[in-house]
Amino acid sequence: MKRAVKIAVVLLVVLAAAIAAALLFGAEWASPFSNDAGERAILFDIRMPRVLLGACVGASLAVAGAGLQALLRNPLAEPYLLGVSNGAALGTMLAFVVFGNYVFARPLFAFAGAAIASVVVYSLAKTRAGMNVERLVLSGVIVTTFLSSVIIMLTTLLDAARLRSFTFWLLGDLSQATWSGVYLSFGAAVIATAILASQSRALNLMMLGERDAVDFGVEVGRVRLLVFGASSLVVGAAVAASGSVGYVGLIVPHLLRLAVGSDNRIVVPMSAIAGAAFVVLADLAARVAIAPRELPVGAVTALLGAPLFIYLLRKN
Amino acid sequence: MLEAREISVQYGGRTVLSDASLCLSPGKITAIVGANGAGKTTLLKALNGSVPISSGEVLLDGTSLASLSRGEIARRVAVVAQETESRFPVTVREFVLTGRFAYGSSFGWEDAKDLEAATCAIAACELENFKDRLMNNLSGGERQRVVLARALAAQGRVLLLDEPTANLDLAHQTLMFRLVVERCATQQYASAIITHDLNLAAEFADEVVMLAAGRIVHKGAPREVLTAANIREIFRVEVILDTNPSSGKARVTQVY
Repeated sequence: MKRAVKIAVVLLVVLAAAIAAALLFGAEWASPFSNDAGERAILFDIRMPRVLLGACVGASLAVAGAGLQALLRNPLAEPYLLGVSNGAALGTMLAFVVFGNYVFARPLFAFAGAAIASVVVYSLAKTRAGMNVERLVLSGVIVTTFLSSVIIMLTTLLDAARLRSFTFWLLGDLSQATWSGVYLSFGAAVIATAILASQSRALNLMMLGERDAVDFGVEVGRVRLLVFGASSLVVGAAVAASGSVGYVGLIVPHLLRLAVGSDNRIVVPMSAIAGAAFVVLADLAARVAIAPRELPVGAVTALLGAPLFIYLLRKN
Repeated sequence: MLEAREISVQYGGRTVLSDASLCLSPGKITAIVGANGAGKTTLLKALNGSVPISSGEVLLDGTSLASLSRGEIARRVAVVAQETESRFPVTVREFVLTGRFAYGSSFGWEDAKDLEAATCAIAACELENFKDRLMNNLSGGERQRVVLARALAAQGRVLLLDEPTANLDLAHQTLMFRLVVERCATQQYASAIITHDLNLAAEFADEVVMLAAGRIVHKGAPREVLTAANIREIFRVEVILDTNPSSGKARVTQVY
């Protein structure tokens, strides 16, 4: 417990530093002490919601990744790679097509899409003998490509201007951040982190094997429902606000496990803090790398995540 | 203590265990033997309610398992399953502590009692020098001892062991059985052990249950069940039966 507190303090300091850097730096330096209206608008109206949304999205995706990995006994399980993010993206697009500008329909549909994709991938990957790495990854690929095709078909319904912003959004983009998106993502991230952290001791057993978990007292069905439910909630809210930012749920829990071990009572809650810092920094890189132009943050996380995925796949 | 009454188990419509009745009593060791695929592991899983039974019932201290939560069962029945390999880096101590799950809240941290139980179990299985090592860096036999240590840390009064000696050298096979015998003799544990080693069954078990095609075909004292005729019937091999000169128990020697 003491160790968890120490790690939390270190990560919170890193997160605070990342948020401060992301607020101050960008295409232009913005001073928090400036009286210039333009500079204050950049800092508080443009960067602040974007940075905070990035933190919420990072926390959401990382904590969902940590939970899914332990539940599925697979370090490669990640919302983006399993097709859960694409399920949420399709849900968001459907809400957009059906309900237009009624924005609160989007996270609801995103949640439903993420939940359905989770259940489908799980059902495809699970056999009576258990679930191996290849089968889970392949199931994720199948679901992801199927959902991508449907999303592409839906984009043909969009006009040219919307198509560009949707393409950016699909790749994972924080530039459209709004305060309502921040509040919603923050609420979802807090609820999901609390649910997943409450199951983290059970996840320590699930991580070793489903039979181990049953034998030593875990109500496996309940834990599975809570983890899938919480990760769908949080991925739905994150994707509705910022599109599919990939690999965060892979990179962050993996690095944490290297640093602090596999105890989910530490890995799960700390993934939320570390994930927040990671996406804030990745988005800062996306803003300054080719300034004044911007990259989608999803492109930066994928550049870092794809090599790690290959490394983990080979290792497994 | 733990009693199965005419239980059957089906997987996808196929019956893998039929009308099995068995009683595990305090202080006694029951060895479960049989050919591969005879239903031994299924019987063990049914005894702690980890597979659903299609008929019959299992009673734990007189209460049907169906009416108990997983946590209540886990506090009274500890399991040594065939060892599995985790893809996550887990230390021996962390692994053993997972055996204490049923005693705490889902997020809670272990208390002094949990830590003491784990420390004692690690010492009993001669694993003190390994406790900070990662499970994935241990040999199969070392991992098997850790799996036993976790079951001992769980402190269930019924011990169910699924081929616990499969990866062990001769010294650790004896250690494993002696630990179980000692728990049964001094703390009145009841235990069931699946084993392919008929000599270990003859040496340490109070009762031997012989399974074939999902049915219990012979049950009784080792000398009554481990006969040349029964072994030929179940395993289709010829054996010579005599007496172990050091222990006076039955000794099985296969004729090749």
